[in-house]
Amino acid sequence: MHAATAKTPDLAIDLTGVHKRYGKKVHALRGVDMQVRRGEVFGLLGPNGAGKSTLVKILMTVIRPTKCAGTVLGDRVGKKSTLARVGYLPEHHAFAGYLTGRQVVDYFGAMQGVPRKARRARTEQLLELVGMKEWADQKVRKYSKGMRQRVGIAQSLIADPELVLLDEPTDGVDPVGRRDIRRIVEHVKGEGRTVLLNSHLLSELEMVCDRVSILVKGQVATQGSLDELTAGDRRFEIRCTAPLPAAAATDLAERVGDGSPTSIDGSVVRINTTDPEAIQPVLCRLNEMGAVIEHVEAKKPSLEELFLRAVEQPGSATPGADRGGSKEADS
Amino acid sequence: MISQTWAIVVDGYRELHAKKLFWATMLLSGLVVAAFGATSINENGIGVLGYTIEVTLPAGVTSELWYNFLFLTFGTFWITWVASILGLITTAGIIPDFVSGGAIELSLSKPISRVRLFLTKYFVGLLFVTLQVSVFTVACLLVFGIRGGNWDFRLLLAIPVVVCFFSYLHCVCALAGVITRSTIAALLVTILFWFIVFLVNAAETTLYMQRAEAEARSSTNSQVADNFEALTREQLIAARSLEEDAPTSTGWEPSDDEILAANPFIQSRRDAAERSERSARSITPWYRGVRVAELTLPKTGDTIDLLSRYLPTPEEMFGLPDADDAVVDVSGDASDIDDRKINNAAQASGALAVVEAARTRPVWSILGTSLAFEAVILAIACLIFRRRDF
Repeated sequence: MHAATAKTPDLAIDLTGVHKRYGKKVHALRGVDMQVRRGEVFGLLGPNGAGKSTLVKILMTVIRPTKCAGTVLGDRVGKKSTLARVGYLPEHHAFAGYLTGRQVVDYFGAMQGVPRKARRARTEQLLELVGMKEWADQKVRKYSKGMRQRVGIAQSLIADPELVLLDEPTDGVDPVGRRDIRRIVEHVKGEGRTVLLNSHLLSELEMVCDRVSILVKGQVATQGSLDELTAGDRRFEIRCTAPLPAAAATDLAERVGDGSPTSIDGSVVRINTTDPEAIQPVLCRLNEMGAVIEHVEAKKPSLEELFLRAVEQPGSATPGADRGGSKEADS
Repeated sequence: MISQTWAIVVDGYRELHAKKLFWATMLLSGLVVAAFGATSINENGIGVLGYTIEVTLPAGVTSELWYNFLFLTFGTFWITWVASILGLITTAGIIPDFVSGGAIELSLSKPISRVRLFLTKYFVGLLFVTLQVSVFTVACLLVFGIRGGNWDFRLLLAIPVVVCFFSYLHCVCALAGVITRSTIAALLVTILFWFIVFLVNAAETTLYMQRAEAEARSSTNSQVADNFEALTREQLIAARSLEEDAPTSTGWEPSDDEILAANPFIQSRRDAAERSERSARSITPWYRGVRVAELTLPKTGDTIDLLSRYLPTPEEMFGLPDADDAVVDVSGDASDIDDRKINNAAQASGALAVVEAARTRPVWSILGTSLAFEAVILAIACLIFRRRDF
């Protein structure tokens, strides 16, 4: 693999205060700070219109930022020569229908300056990797959406990139295809590449991403690893067969080992702790009270819950996470 | 860098290859060449597939001149009008498709500057007409050589000339394509532009011809008036010398009034000359305005006409005016000179002036101003493409 760049050896993308305005009215990005570490799979989330694709396009020089300080692979954002080391699959890409899958991969390899011999060898490898070798000589216009996505991923990897930006790679792909793409992403990560994944499918991201950033209204609402983002919201849930009296809440709360907040919602007791020992006295007390325990589960919020919270309450920063990556201060 | 440029060129060829219109145009071009090859000339007229159409051809028309004539009339019409329109239809979508959503992102995300990307794509668009004209011209050369023994390699000049001509339109199409991102809009704007260029060229030619005609009419009328004046003067002097009471026959000169009174035709010619001169003067500012407009626009017609400078052809086959028609014989008593005769000569003179002007216009001026226009349009298109967010 490529050697890490000396300037920011541990960061593939390091952005500070990225702004993008369209005219005077639309402020698509309002000072995005984002850091993507080398070798990780980074998920970029956000509702429609949050500015995710705009941010990715700025990184790929498709859109010019209004204001931007930062680096991609150690070079300033917008430097064309850096793009030879970056793979990109845009959202809603449209390959020329008159080309075959093999020609698409080869063409974009040539555009990235890959020598012909290396291109040919790598095209074969990548078509194999994305499961398109059998259909490589068919015209793209005959491909299904999923096949186009696979070829798109192959072309994004043709230049042996250090960084791969995949914008909605599972868009329009069936569950089997999504699983395959997830495996490809894991494979790419296994090769030591950095992957920035922009997707609406939160469950997919949850399975492959090391860290995520949630963009809301052109700003990073929260950013960090899933463990960091969910640290403050982990809890144990004890489900009983019958509803418990609300008055029992105080009694149970006094028995929690570490004094974590406790609440009762019908037949469910929620204890906001990650320590299993702390809930043992509660379980004993429930037995004493004659309650029949049906299920005990260590719960943490899903990425979807985090996402919805960030979108619906944009001001609420998740404990353990940051709002601008590894930097402490928010701009 | 070379691999990127070559990749775009190869992709451009694949794109054209995939278009049915490309092959349809190629097929039609083949039919036109075959039709040329089916003709020949003999002592009785024009031979077509073994049959002879009995027509009287101008003296001295050889097979070489016949095929050059075919190429310069029907051939250039085919490649500059029919094939170019088909070419425009085929290539109008290249830039709009290139800058459309989904396609442009991938191209822009590669390590290649936007300007180089755009210009390469632009020149690849010229590939269509280059291939079409090359195939057509080489086929014509082969057919003319084999059928008529006319191996005139100057025919190959048609390739750069027609590509140059097409590029004037293609640059406008590219600019419209970048701005509108619509194939239909780009095509319509280009055809409208072509029409405007045609109108300006036609206006310039018409005004130039009208002015030359007016000047010729003025000049002829003045010459006729001068001639009549001299004649009348002589007649008056001769008449005076015959009069018995004349004090002396030597040294007497009739006054202008006496001459005009003796021959009213002189005044009418002078008036006609003045009217024509006024007419020429009134045309001049309009002509200059149109000429400036024409200078700034590409010379589509003049560019194609460059071919006729280098390919020998019998002029009478094109119905060009005869220089003798432009001259009015004002010698002698010129009693048969009337307005109709002077007008006919002036018209012939105007037509000759137009032909002469077209032939003597410097090549550098025709190509230089046209290519300068193209460069400006491309610079604007590049600027827009470079600064636009996609």
